[in-house]
Amino acid sequence: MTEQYGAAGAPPAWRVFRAVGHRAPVGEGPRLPEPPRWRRFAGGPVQPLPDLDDTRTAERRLGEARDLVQLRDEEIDVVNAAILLRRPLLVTGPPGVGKSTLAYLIAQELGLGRVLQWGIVSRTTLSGGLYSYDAIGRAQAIAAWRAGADGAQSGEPAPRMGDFLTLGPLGTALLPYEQPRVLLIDELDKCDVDLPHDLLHVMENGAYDVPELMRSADPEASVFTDDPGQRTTVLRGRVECHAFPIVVITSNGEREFPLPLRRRCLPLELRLPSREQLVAIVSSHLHGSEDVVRPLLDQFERRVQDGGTHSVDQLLNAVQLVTSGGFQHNSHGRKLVELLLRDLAKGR
Amino acid sequence: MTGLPRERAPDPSGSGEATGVDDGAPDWRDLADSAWLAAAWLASGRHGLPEPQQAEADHPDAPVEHRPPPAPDPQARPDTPSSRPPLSPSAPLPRGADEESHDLGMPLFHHASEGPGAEPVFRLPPLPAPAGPRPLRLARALRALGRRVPSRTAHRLDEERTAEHGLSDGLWIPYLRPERQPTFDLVLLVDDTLTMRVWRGTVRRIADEATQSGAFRDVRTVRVSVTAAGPAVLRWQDGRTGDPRELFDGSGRRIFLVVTDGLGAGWAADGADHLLTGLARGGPTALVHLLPPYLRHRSSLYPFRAQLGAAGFGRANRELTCGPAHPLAEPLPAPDDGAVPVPVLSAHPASFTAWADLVTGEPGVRHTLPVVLAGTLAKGAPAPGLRTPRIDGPHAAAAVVARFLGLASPLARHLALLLAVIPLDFDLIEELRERAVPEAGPDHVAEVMMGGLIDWDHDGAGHPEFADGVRESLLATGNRSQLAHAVDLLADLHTGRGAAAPLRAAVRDPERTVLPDTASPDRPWLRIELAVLRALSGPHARRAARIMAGISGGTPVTRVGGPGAKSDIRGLHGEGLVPDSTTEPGDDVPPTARPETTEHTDAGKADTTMDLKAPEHRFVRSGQPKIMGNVPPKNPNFTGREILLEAVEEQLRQKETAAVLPHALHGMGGVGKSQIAIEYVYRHSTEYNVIWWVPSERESLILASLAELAGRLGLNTGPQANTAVPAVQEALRSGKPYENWLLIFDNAEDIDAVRSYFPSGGPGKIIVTSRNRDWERVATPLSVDVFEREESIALLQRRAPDLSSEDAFRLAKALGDLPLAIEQAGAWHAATGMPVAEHLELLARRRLEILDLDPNPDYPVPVAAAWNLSLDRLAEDHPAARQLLEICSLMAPEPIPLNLLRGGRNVEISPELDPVLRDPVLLARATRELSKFSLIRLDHKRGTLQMHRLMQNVLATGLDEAAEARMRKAAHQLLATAKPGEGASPELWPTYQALLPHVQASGAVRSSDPWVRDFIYDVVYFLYYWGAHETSMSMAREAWTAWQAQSGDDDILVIRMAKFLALMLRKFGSPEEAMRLNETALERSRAGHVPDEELIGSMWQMAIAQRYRGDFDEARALDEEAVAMARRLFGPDDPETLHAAHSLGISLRCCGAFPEARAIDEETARQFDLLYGPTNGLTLNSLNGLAIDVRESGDYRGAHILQESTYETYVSNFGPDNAATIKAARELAVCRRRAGAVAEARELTEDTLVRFTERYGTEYGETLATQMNAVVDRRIGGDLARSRELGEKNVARYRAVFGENHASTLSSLVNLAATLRAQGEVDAAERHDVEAVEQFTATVGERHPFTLTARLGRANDHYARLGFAAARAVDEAVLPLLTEVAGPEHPLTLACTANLALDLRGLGETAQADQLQADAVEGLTRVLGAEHPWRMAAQVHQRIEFDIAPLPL
Repeated sequence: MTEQYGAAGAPPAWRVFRAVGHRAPVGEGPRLPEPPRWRRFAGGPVQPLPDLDDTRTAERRLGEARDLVQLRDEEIDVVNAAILLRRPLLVTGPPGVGKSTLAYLIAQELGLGRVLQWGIVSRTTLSGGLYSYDAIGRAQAIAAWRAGADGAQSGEPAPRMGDFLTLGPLGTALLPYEQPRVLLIDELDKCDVDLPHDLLHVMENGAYDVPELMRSADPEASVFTDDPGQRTTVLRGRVECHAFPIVVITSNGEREFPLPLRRRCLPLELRLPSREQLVAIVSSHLHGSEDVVRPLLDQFERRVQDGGTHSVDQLLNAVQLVTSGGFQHNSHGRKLVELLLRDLAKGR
Repeated sequence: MTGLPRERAPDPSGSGEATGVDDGAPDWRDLADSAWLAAAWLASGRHGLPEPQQAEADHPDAPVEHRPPPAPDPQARPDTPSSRPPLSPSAPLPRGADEESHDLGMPLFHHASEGPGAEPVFRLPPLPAPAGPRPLRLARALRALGRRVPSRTAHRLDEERTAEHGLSDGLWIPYLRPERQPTFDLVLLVDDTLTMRVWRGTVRRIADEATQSGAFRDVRTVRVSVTAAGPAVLRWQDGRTGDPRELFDGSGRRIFLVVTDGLGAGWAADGADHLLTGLARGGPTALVHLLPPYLRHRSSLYPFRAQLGAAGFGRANRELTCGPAHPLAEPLPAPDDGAVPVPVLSAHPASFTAWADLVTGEPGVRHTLPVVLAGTLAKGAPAPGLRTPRIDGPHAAAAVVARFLGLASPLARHLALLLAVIPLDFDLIEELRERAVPEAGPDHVAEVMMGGLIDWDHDGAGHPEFADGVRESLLATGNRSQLAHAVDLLADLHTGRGAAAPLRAAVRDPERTVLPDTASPDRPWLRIELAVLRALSGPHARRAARIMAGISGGTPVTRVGGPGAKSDIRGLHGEGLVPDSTTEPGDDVPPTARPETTEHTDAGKADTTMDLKAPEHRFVRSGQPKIMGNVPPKNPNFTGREILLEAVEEQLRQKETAAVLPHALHGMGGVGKSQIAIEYVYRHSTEYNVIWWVPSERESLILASLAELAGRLGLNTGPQANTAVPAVQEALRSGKPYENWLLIFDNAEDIDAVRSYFPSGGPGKIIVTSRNRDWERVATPLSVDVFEREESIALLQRRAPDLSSEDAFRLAKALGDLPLAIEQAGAWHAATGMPVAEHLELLARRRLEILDLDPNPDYPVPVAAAWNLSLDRLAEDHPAARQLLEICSLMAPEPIPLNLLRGGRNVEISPELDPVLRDPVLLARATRELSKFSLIRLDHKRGTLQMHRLMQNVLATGLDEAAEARMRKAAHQLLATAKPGEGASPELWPTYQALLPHVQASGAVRSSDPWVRDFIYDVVYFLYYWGAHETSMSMAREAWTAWQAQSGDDDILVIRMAKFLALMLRKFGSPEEAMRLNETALERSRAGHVPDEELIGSMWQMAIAQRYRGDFDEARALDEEAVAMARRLFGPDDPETLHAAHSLGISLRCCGAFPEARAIDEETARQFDLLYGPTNGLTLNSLNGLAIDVRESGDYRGAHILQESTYETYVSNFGPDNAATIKAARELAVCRRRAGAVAEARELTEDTLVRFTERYGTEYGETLATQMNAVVDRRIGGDLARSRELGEKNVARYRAVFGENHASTLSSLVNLAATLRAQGEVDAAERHDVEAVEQFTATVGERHPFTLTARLGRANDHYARLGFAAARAVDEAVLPLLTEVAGPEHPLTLACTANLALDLRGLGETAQADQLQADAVEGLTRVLGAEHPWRMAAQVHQRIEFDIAPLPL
C-alpha cells in the first residue's frame, strides 16, 4: 500500500499522526483536529499537560527514533480516525506485534507527554482505575494529629482528605487537560467480566465523581495523580475532562467484549511486520549492520510464515545475541538462537 | 464495584439508544462520526482512494462519496468486529499461486532429470492467515458458573465499620470483610493417553477459555493417566505423580472437568470408576468427550442419553436426578447402587451451557445430556480401535486397512493416506493436517488413531507406529499423484524439513539419488521411504530392494523387474527392516508389491489406482450412531469359543440367519448359547448400524422389544404394539432408515411364532439362539457343545487365579466341562477359596443325592450339584438372599427389575427376608452376595437382575410345596406392590412391559390376594391399551376363570374382570359370550352386596351388550335406570354418573332420538370438560358423540364444524395414530360428506379404513363401520364396482358378527342397495331395501329415521324403474312422518320433498312439482348452502340418494 501513495508524495494532510517516529516536545506536537461536537467536554479549570521526562520508557519501548514507517498505511488511518473522532482504539494482534508500543508512539509523536498506563488483571476494578482512597491512613493521620494537637495548638493544619486520595490512570486521563492525555489500557481481555461495561459508562460520560470529596466540606481538594509526584485540584469531588484522552485498549484478541464496547471503539488489528518493517525495527533498536542480521531475519520470517506464534521481541533478542560480542556461530550458538526463536504457542 | 454478576441494565445516562438496543444497527452517533470523518478526509483533499475490500458499500448512494476505510464498523457485526483487520491488498498473496501448486495431475517424473535438490515442483499453499486457534466459544457458557460468594481467604477493608469503630474508640483497628469471589475453581483433568496428543490444541483452548471466562477463582490443568490396571494417576506439570485424591477439596467448591477422547482402555476399567466416583463426590464433575458423538460408540466411553435434573447450586453429581431421556428409552440404572451419573459434554457451547445450568440450577431444572455412570464403567468394552492389529497372514494388513476405510469418514481416509508418509510424530501430524487438509479437525486425526491401524508400543518403549504392512496398504489406496503430492507436502513442512527432502529426491529419481544411510538413527524415515518406494513400485521398488540389501548387509539381489522381483520384495518386506535382528522373511506379500504392477513405470499409467480390493468390504457405515438395545452386558469372563465365534461370523457372511443351538447331548442348556451371541455382538458391534436383542421366549416379549425398536428407529407409529411391530418389520426389510442391522432372537423356542417376526429379506442379519433343535429344519444350525477342557481350565483360572492347572483339570472333568457349571464352580472357588479336594468331594456327594432323586435325563446334574453347594452355603450364611433367589426363581428368566424388590417394604414374607426388603443397604448386600456366587447376573446399567433358566429349574426342584406356595405368594405380592399406575398412560408402558413376563411366569393371574388381583386388572387393561389384544383377552379369561373358581360370582373383582372380559369379547369376536358375561355381572351386581358404582357400571355395560344385540330400547331403559340411580346417589357431576349418561346418549341415538341424545351429550361433555379438562379422552369422546347427534338431528354444517375441531384436538393430544383419533376421523368423514365436502370425506374414509384394517384386521367392529362409510363414499365418488364389492362383503360380515336383523346389518344393506341401484341392478337393490324396511320396522319401529331412510330407498327403487306412482306413494307416506320425527327443516325431509317433486313431475303434475321443488331448493339452500350436492341435485331435477351412517354402539 505504501507504494500507492508514494507517487503522490507526502501522506495525506488530514493525518496528524504519521507514525514516523518524530519526537515532539510535550505540548508542542501538531495541532489536533477539533473533536466532533458530541465529543466535546466542559471540564475545567483547564490545566496544561504535565511536563514529565518519560524518555526512558519511551526509548525502551520504541528504540531510537528514526524516520521510519512502523505501521502500515491503513493502520495509520485507523489511528488518525480514532484521534479525530475521539474514540478509543481497540488494538488486537499476535503477541509481541507492538500493540502497547502504539500508545507510546502516538504520545511521542503528538507531544502528548507521559503515557498513562493501566495494566489490567482479573482483579482490576473500575474504581481502582479512577482513584484510590486510603481511609485508614487518613484516619490514623487524624488520630496522630489529634494526639499531637493536644499539646500545642501548633496551628499545624489537620491532614486534608486530598492527601489520601490518589487518582488512577483512568482518573488522571480524564482530568481537564488542555490537550488529550494518552491512556494505555493494557490487556483488557484479562479483566473481570464486569469491567468493560463499567469502563464504557465512564468513557461515554468523560466524567466521574469522587464521593469522598463530594461529601467533604472543602470545595477544593488537592489530590495526587497517577503521574509520579504530581498533584491536581479537584473541585467539589467531580472530575470532567476537557480534551478527551486518546485511549489505546490492547487485547490479545481471544476474549470477546460486549457489543456496546466494541461499537464505541475503533478496531485495529496489527499484523506481524513485513520484512521491510522488521529491518526498520531491528535497525532502530540496534546498530547491527543488515548483513549480520539477515540470516536471522530470514529464519524469523520463515518461521512466521510456517505458522506458529512468534514475537518481534524474540527477533530483537536474537539479534542482540548475535550482534553482541563473543557470539559463537557454532551449533551451540544455533541452539541458543533456536531457543530464542521458538514457537511461543507450543509452550516449551 | 461489588463484583456481583448482574444483569446489566442498558446504560441509562450517557448513551441512550446507543447501548439500549445492541442490534448492531448504526445509531445517530455512528452516522455522525462517519460524516465527521468524511468531512475531515475531504477537507484534506484526499481523492481517488481505492476502497480496499470495504466495498461492502452498505450505503451506495449515501452523500459521502468516498467512504473512508477506517471509519469502519459502525455496523459492527456482533461476531467479528474487533477481530476484523482493515483488510488491504498488501496482505500476503498466496505465494506460488502461479506455480501450479495444486496441479495434482502433474506427472511425477516431470523433473526427474533435474536431479536431487532441484527447485520443488509442488509448493505448499501458504497458510491462509496466521492460523489462530479456532475459538470454541465456551467462555460465555462457563460464565454462568461464575456466581460469587464471600471468600474464605481474601478479605478487604470494611471501611464503614472501620471508620465507625475508629471514631468511637479511636483505635483505628481495620475491620475486614470477605472479598466476593467466584464460587468455584476449576480443575481440568486431561487424559494422558497417547491419542490425546491429537487434541492438544483443543484442550489448551478449553483451558484458555475457562480462564478467560473469569468465572473461576482458579483454573488448573493436570494430566491424569487412566490405565486398565490399577488406579488413575495424576501427572503434575513438573513431572511429579500424584493421587487424584490430592485434588479433592472439602468445601465442594471445586469443579472437575475430565477431558478425554475416551479411547484409552482404562476407561472401561475400575480405575476410571474410582476416579470419576471420587471426583463426583468432591464436586460437580463432568466429562468432556472430545470425540464427536458419532464416533463415541467406538471409544471405551460410550455414554447414553439421560435426563438429568439439577439439585441446587453446586451440588455434587450424586444428588442429580437421572431419568430416561424420553418415556420409551431404555430404562436407566438404579441410582442407589453407588453409581453416580456424570454428564458427558462436547467441546461445544450448547453442551457446556446445559451443564452449567445443571450445576447452578435449582431443583426442577432439567437437561437431557449424554451421561455415563461412574461405578459401572468397568462393565464397558475397551475401544477396539486401539488394539494392536494382528498381522498374521498375507492379507492381514490390507484387511486391517480395509476395515479402517470402511468405518472412516472421507477426510479421515484422506488424512490416513498422508500420515502414511510421515513418522507418527504428533507435531508433524498437526502441521500436516493444518496445511494439507485444513478442513479436517482433530477428530479426523483421532479417527485414524482409533482406526485399528497402529501398534501403540511398536518398539517396546511406548512409541506408536503403524503396524507392519499398514503403511504400504494405506499408500496402496491412493494413486501415484496423490502419493507424490503427499511426499512433496511433507518436504515442505516446517517440522519435517531436512528429513523429508531426501525422500522427495528419492521419489523423483529413484535410480540416482544417494541411498540413505542405513546406519543413521532416522529409523522411522527409512521405514517410510521403503513403504513409499514399494507403493510406487517400478524403479522405486528396485531402490527399495537396494536399500534393504544395504540394511541386511547382503548384496542387491535383482535389479530388473519381472518374476525375480517377487521373491526379492517378499524377502525384504516388513519386520525384516530391523537390521540388528536376523532378516526373517515376512510371510505377507504386500498387495502393492505384486509383480504385475512393476510394469507400470510409464507416466501414462501414472494415475492408475493401485488396485486394492478390500477382502471383506461388507459394510459401509454411514457414520450414523448405531442403535443398540437390550443387549445383556458383556460377560467379563468370556473365555475361548473362538472357533464357534468364527463359525457365527462365517455363517452370517454367507447367510441371513445363524441359529445357535445346543449340541444334541445337552438339551437342557447351560452350554452358553446366549453368551456366544452376546460376545459376537460386542466383538462386531462396529459393523452394524442397528443391533437389537429380542428376548423371544414369549410372544409378548418379542412384541415389547420390537415396539421399543420402532421408537428407536424413529418410526412414527406410536407405542402401540399392534402398529409398531409391522412398521419395524417393514423398516428393516426395506433397509430404511438403516440397513445393515442385526437382530438376535434369544431363546426362540416357538419356531413359527418367532419366524413370523423375522423381517423377510432385507439387508440385515439374524441370530437365533434356541434349545429347540427343530430350528435345524429352517436354518443351518451351529451346535454349541460343552467347553474344550482347555477352555474350562482357562475360565476356572480366570475366575480363581490361584487354582493350579491340575486342580482346574480335575474340577473341569468332574463338572463335565459344562460352561454354566464351570463358571459356577469358578465363582464358588473365588468366593470361598475351598480346597479343590474338598470341593470335589462335596460335588460328588451332591451328585449322588441328585441322582437319588432320579431326575429326568436332561437334568443338568453337574451344574445342579455345583449350584446346590452355593445354595446351601447361602441358606446358612445368608438365608434372606437364598429366599430372594427362590422368589426370583418363580419369576420369568428375563431380567427382573431391581425396583420390583425395592417396592417390597410393605409386604410380609418371612422374618429373614422382611428386614432386607425394607433396607436398601441390606438389599444391595443380598444381591451382591448372589452375584458373587454367580447365581444371578446384575445389569447395573439397566437396573435388573437375571438368573439362568436352568437355575430356576434347580431351585424349583429343591422347593417343597409349602415353601413354593409361600415364595410364590411373595413373588405375587412384590409384583403387586410394583404396580406402576394406570395402564392407559403410555409413559408407564415400559414399566409394565418389564413386569409382564414375571406376571405371566409367576402365575399371578391365579392369585387370590385382592391386591394382586387388582394389579392383574391393571395389567390386562395395559395390554388392551398397548394393543396386545390376544394376550389381554387370554389373560383376562384365565384370571376370571381362576378367580371365579376361588371366590364365586359375587366377588366384586370377579364381576369387574367379567365385565372387562365381556368388553374384549365384544370387540374381538364373541358378542354372545360377552352378553352372557354382562348378564351374569348385572345379575350378581343387583343381587350381591357390591358397591353402588359397581352396580351402575354393570348396568351400563349390560346396555352396551344389549346394543350389540340390537335391543336398543332395552338398552335405553337400562341406561336411564343407571343414570337416574347415579344421579340420585352421586349427583349429576360424578364421573360414574357421566359414564352412565354417556352410555344413555348412545342408546338414545340408537333409538333415533337424536335431539334427546344431543341434550344428554352436551351436558355430559360439559361435565367431563369441567372435571378433566377439554383435552381429556372422555371429554373428547363425548364431543365425538355429540357431533353425531348434531349431525343426525339435521344440522350438517354445525356437526361438521364441531367435529373438525374435535378431531384436531385428538390429533394434537393423542397423535394421528391413536385408535380414538381414528374413530373421530371416521365420524369426521361422515360429517364432511353430509356437509357436502364429498371428496375430502372420501379421502379421510379411505385413510381411516386403511388404518383400522392394518391395526385390527377386517372383522373388527370399528373396521366394519368404516367399511360401511367407504361403500357410501365410493358410490358418491363414482367408484361403483369397488363400492359394491366392499358393500357385499360388509353386509356378509355384519350378518356374521351381529346377526341378520341388527340395525347395523340393515344399515349396511341400505347402503349397498344404493350402490346396486346406481349400477342399474334395481331388482337386487329392491330386494335389499324391502328386507331392510321390513326388519327395521320390526326392530326399531316405523318412526325410526333409519326405517324412514330405508323407505326413501324403496321410493328410489320405484323411481329408477319409472314407477312414478309407486315412488310417489312411498314418498308421500314418508314425508309427513319425517316432518314429524325429524322436523320440517331436516335435510332428509327437504330431500324427500325434492324427490317427491320428481315423482309428481314424472306423473305430469308439473305445477305441484314446481311448487314442491321450489320449496325444497329454497329449504336446502337455507340449511345446507347453495353448493351442497343435494341442493344442486334438487335444482337440476336429479334424484337424491340416501345413506345411513353407522352409529357407535
